[in-house]
Amino acid sequence: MSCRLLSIFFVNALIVSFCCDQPLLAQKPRFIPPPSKQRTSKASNAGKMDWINAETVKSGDSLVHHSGSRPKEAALRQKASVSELSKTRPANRRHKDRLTQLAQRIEQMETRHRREIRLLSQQIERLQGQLQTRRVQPTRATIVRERSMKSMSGERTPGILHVSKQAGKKRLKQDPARKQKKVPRSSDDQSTEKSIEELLQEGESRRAVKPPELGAGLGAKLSAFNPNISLIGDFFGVTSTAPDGNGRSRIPLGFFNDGDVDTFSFREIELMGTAAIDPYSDALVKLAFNNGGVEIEEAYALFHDYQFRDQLPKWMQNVQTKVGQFRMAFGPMNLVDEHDLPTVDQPLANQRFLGEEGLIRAGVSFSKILPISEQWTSELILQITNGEPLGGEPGSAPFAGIEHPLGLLHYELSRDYQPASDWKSRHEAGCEPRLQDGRRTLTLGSTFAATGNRVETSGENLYSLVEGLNATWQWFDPRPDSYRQYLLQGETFFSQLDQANDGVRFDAGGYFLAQMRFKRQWFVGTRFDITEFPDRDGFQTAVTPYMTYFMTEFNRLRLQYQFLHQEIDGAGRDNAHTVWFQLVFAYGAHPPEPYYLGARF
Amino acid sequence: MKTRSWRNFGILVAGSLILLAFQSRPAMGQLNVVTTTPTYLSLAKELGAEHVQVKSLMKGGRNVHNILPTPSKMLAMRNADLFIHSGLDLELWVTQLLRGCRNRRIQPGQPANVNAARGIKLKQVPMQISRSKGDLHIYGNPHYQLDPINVILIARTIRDALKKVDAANATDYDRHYKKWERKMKKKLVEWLKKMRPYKGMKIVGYHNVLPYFADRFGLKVIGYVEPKPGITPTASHTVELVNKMRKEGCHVMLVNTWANQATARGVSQRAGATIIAFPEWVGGVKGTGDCIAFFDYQVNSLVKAFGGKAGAKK
Repeated sequence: MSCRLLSIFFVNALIVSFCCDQPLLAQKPRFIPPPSKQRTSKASNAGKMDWINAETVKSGDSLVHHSGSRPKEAALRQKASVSELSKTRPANRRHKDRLTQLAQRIEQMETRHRREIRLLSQQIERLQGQLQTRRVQPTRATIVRERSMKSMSGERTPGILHVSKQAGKKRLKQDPARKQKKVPRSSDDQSTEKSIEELLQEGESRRAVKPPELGAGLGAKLSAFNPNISLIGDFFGVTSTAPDGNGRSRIPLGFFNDGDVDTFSFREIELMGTAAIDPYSDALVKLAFNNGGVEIEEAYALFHDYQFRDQLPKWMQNVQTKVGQFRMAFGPMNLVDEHDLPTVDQPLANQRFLGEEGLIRAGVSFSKILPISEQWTSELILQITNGEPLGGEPGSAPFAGIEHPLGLLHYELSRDYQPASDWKSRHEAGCEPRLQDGRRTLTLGSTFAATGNRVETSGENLYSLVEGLNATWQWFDPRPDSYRQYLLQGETFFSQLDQANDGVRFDAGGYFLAQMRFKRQWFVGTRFDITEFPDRDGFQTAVTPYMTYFMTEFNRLRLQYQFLHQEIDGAGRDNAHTVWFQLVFAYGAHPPEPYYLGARF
Repeated sequence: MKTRSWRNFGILVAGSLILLAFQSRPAMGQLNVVTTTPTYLSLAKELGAEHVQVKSLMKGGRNVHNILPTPSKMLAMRNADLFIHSGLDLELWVTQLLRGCRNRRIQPGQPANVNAARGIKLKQVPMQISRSKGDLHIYGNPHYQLDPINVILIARTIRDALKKVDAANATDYDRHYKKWERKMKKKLVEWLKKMRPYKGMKIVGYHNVLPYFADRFGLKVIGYVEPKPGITPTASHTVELVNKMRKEGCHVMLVNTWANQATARGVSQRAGATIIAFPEWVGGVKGTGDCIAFFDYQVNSLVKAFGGKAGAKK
């Protein structure tokens, strides 16, 4: 029985040894402690740090530290044993790699230890130097102890007949020669103490002033983080020969107060707040207050940078993201708030194809600027939003998607033309600027938008596609004392709407605007509209001359006349003459200026 | 049933009494002092000694910006006779605690509400206040407790407050303060002397808490692991920082005890720098139980880290 057990044990040991790649009888590492005489005080060891100056060798997988007295012999012995081991064992690539790695680690540790030892030696030398320069003064207790020891040993101390605690203390006090001498402070210490006192005196003088307090004071100061808030009022008066909006006319109902065509009213009061959320994003919120209540016109966060930017592919790093509710990038007019338009109302084509207040949806927008050449830049915008406006309103054709999101792709090319190089000399000569003398911008854009409309009765999906083209050209007088500007702008819309009876309806519309700024505060212009209706047969044309007077950049007056002609199947022909008077005022933080102002007032 | 319910009631009462007995209450005549940070706790203990019982609302190694205002903290403040805080806009959580504790004595503007920022000359006062600059402190950098001179000024403020609230023991507070101030000034001379050989040496921090400390001890801060205060480090910023450290020969990083140690280790390994655990408050690291031990640790750690590389490296 015992033999069997022994044999089982031996076989097990063999198996374990084979699996762990260890010799059956592994060499135990020997720890040789440092020599005892070298463990004396640090002072005597100064410069002789042999016992820390370890040589490390390896034996298999273990590390052995030897004292510094016989480093080389021990290392050679161990290295020999290692080489013997590696020779006697069967070729094992993995084992050799491990050995190499260990050797490298050991070398690194050796280098680090040598550096540490060097630093410690220097520190010790420095401390020793300080110790030698300082005179150590005996304390009173030391003196008394020494005196008492001397008296006990029979030594006589001059001036002292006997030693007793009280007598000793009394004599120490009386004997001037035994007064403890103060350690003289170095001049450095004195100047440091002096500067500390001066700083504390300065601080003491400041303590008379009350520091910022929590509570109301803190709240007031923290309001510095509040957003930039501006309030814009859009007030109008209108009179028109157009009938009310009771199915016959498509004059925007927002201008009429319960069907009364002669009225003064506020189109809206807009409250806008903008602020940086953090170093990566800004926020904008626009609330519109009107006769119908309050609604969110726009509210979004704009990410111009990302914390995880480096993890993104390079082509995505400069993509700007907008999340929230925003005006969609369908041409330049849709991006402009109604109070900032060059005219009182939106172009008729924009009203028919994008909605009376413009195409505003909630979703996500991605935009990226794509440089093309030195002169040309382009921007690509992709937007995915709800098909319907927020609040559950059905929206108007063509963008009346139910259950289907609205996708929009917009691509824009732009170029800035710099003034001709000789314009200054001709200006000095008193010549009028030519077309090529002015600063010019040209923008060309195309838009593609698609959504769907599900018919509830049949469950059929009907798709709406709208394409748009836009072009804007602006000219600015190069003379610094002249504000002359020209603006030419036009857009076209093409819609394809799936019909329930398997047909497709095609419609088109557009406008052309020409505006001139002939004085700093005066703008005149005319807009020509022609458009079909995407959801019915008929068309509208209009001519809209207008004049705008900027009293200041925060206050503007506008007078506009419109002649509208429309022919609608089933409703006959209509002509309408409408006159608007508009006042737009803005206050609060400086609001953004209309694009046609050219950032120059 | 009756017997059982009486028994249960008796157990409840006994349990409550036991719990009450274990609640520490100040002895008769002792002031109940509550501080926001352990640094003020340590100073209040030194100056108040046997006349005060002190409690801190946060521990030394925590991030002072992110302390949760809990009901237990409100409870601690309810009975406070003196409340010491950093002022400015460092401890925004204190506002909620002050509102909830219903202790009129320690409300802002009262003598028992001690603003430790009195007399402190603030550094890094921002010219532009916007969240695009990160977690900005609008009055200036509020980590003034890392300058020993400011600690002495804070101690004076606490002494004056103790004397105002407890005039009977004013002489004791004066005596304790003088004794502590002597010790502190002596140690300050010693610290400045130790750090003199390393004047101009470059260091890197994690969060922007170093201006007062660095200016006092003549160190130059070349950057922080956070690109802006309170903003998580990005990969590109850490690469920039590592390159800057290599270029300028900076081998020491002071990393806050609450910071992301993995990021700090990554930067230090790539830059070949030594990391020093840098507590902002007393008790943040073992062995820093009072202000003197706190600065002793800071100075000795720096001296050890700089080692033989004395002198400014340009």
